[in-house]
Amino acid sequence: MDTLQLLEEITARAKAGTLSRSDVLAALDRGAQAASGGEEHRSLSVADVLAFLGGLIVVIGIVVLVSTNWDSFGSVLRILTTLGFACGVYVAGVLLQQQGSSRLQLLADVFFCIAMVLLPLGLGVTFHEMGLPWDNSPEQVFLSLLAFAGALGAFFTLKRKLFVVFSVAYGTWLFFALLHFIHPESSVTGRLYVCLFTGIAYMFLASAFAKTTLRPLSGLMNFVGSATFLGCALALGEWEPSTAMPILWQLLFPILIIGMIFVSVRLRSTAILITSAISIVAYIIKMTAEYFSDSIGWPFAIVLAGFLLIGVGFGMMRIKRKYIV
Amino acid sequence: MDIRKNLSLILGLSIPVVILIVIAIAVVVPRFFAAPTYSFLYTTDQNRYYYTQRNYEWYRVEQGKLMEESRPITDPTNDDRYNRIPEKAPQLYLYDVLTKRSRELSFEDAAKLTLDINETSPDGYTISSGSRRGLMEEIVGGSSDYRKKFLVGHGVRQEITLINPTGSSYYDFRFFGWVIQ
Repeated sequence: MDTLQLLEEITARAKAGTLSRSDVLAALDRGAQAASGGEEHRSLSVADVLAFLGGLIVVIGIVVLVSTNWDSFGSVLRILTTLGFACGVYVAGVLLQQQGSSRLQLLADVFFCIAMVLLPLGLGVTFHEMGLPWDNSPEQVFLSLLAFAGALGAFFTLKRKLFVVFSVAYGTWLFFALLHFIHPESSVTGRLYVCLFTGIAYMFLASAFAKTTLRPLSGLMNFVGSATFLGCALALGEWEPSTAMPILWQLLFPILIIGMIFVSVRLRSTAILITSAISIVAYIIKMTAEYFSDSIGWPFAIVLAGFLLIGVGFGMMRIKRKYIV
Repeated sequence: MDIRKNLSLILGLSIPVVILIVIAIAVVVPRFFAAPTYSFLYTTDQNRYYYTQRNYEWYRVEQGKLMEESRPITDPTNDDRYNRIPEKAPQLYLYDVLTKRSRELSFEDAAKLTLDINETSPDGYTISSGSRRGLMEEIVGGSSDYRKKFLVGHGVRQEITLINPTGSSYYDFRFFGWVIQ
């Protein structure tokens, strides 16, 4: 039975009253869950948000508690309250994950988040107590490598998507730590170029994730990647530039935005469309302030910018309705 | 592994690796082809900032030779460092670019040297102050260590081992000249 026949069958049974909307949706959910390897797909509810907020407050509370009593702690206690706590929370998450209940799965995710957030802090404290200067370049490389390996190892062991987020975050930290180790005296422009290419790398990773069970993360990766790329491209245009390269970037930026809108349509990515819209807004405001505020005056410049922004908003909504959704 | 199927993943992971390799090559390779050849004379005398506020310098370089300024008589009972000229001459140092070390030099030995007072050495290097901060300081903001100096030129940035007495500040460094002979 092909898809068209299947849909006609569903329509016929719905008319006869033998098949309901909830039956069809439940079947779709079960199919998606099986395709994702068993991890339950749930849309974020208020309870989920409160649970993660609670986890965040726990982390803040621990950090405040430890920091206020830090001087009275010995080395062993300092390592136990940071790295030890992170490991303990991780183990608790592993035990909770083995239970079947969806609420306990949520709790396991919260515990894993706490463990991942506390991991670099715990490693930094351990370095410090061992007499290693945690903020020096070589130690930063080693610290970030350990955090990255921990997050990646946890992902391959437990196959939970949130570890990918931390793997990407700590991998990015490792990249910049290595960069700083190799070339600590790099210029601001050099760093902007590096961040620009990092944004492109994020979008490639998002594209890779979209074809796998990590699809829910591709939106976030696209958002961060495109925002980084366009933000750096805008910054490379400088303010009232007098040299060739910044002028070129200012002229090139609208073309880059058009390109990103095209990419958002091709990838059907609302995240890239949103960042493109924000970038157009930022570009219009920047250009107006840079080149028109003195000639036509601030009030007219603001009115002009406002009309252009209205046009951008309508344009983006139309693109989204027609090509993405 | 199907490369076409995993092209996005390969590109996403290879971009940072390529950047690191390119920058490592750009930083390391010039060091094999360029090396500074001129040593220089300097001092890191304490409180020099306050002396120059009163337009006073202990030494000057004239026609390539180090000379002493004639200095006013000091009042040893005057504790105000803003108005007191110290009796002890600032220590001179010679930075040897071959050994990458500094050594103390007496005025008599320093006066025998021929100095080029240009900021840029004859082989195209200059001395710049450092902003060598750790990664965390770069992110959260932190003070730079401007007492650190670097020889910069031809794509090379080499930290100079200066002799900085305890308590000396950024303002205490004074470059006299590149040693020609």
